[in-house]
Amino acid sequence: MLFDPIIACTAVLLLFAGARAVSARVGHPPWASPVLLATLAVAVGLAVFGIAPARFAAAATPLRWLLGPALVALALVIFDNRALLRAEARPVLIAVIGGTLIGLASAWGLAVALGLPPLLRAALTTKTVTTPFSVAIMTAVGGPVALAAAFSVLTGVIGALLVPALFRWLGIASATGRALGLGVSAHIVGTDWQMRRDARAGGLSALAFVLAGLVAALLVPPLWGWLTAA
Amino acid sequence: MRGIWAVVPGLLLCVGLALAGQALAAALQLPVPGAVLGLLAYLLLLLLVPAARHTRAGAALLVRWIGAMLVPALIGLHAALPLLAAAALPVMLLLVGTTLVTALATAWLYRLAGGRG
Repeated sequence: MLFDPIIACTAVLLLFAGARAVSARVGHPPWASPVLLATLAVAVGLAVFGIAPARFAAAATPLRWLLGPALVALALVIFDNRALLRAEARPVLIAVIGGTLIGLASAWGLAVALGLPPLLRAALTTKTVTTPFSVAIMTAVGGPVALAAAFSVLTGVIGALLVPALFRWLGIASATGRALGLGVSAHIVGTDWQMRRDARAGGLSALAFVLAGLVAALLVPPLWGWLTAA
Repeated sequence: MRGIWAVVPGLLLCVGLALAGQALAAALQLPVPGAVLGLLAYLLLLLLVPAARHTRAGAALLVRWIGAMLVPALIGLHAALPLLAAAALPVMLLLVGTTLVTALATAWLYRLAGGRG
């Protein structure tokens, strides 16, 4: 049992590296998100070797624990793009904070309107923020971590696939507006897409997804009781 | 070997700040994830203390592997799959609709607030 964590964490890291290589090989399409591919590979591995998910979850605790330090490290993303923020602080902050609020409110409101079960409703509140933040938020409030993580990953993939086409179709002229919109709505997956096309726009998307995560992390936990009230 | 040692300061600082953030949030009963307090502290350090920039390599390493750290959380999804399957269509509609609305609202707010880029 002592070796469980070493094997599990090494396997996940290797599979993630492999998933990244596969994603690069097929040209980084949003649907080949390395997180998604690595998760599928681990799920297949657990099924093939007959390992109970609970045993894997316990063994992978060190990796899960590293998410806290990695979230701290995301400060680097804001720091590296501080020039873009300084250049137009007011419109960028209004767009990102306002966009995040609309993202949070629309997901929660629509989940209530559709009459979704409470657990799904709770998990959907953080779909608009990137997975490390949604996991941190759900862990802090005792919400559905796995569902929230899945919704964040799916949202990133959906956004990176559809948002650029939507912007093109509607003729949104502002390059900065498009980059911020993609960052807030499709977080890391959208940022990755943007970064491969235009470094400045990619920086704006990166800034947007970290700031959006911060807004949600400061706002959702205090409102949790009210958001999840029947 | 130098490459390995270059990431140590950043790893230690991020781990330290995550733990400090957790301790502070617990002690003051703040309703925010502790790591977020660590993120804000690290941002201040980077902005105010030039020496803190030596931690860049370690922090960048953590950011690069963040996806692997999310895999255990996603594996936990197997327990919720029946619930999810029962509501797959409305959930999918919600995810697509709100993602597009969020993207448009953000781009539109940027223009409305006087953005010119």
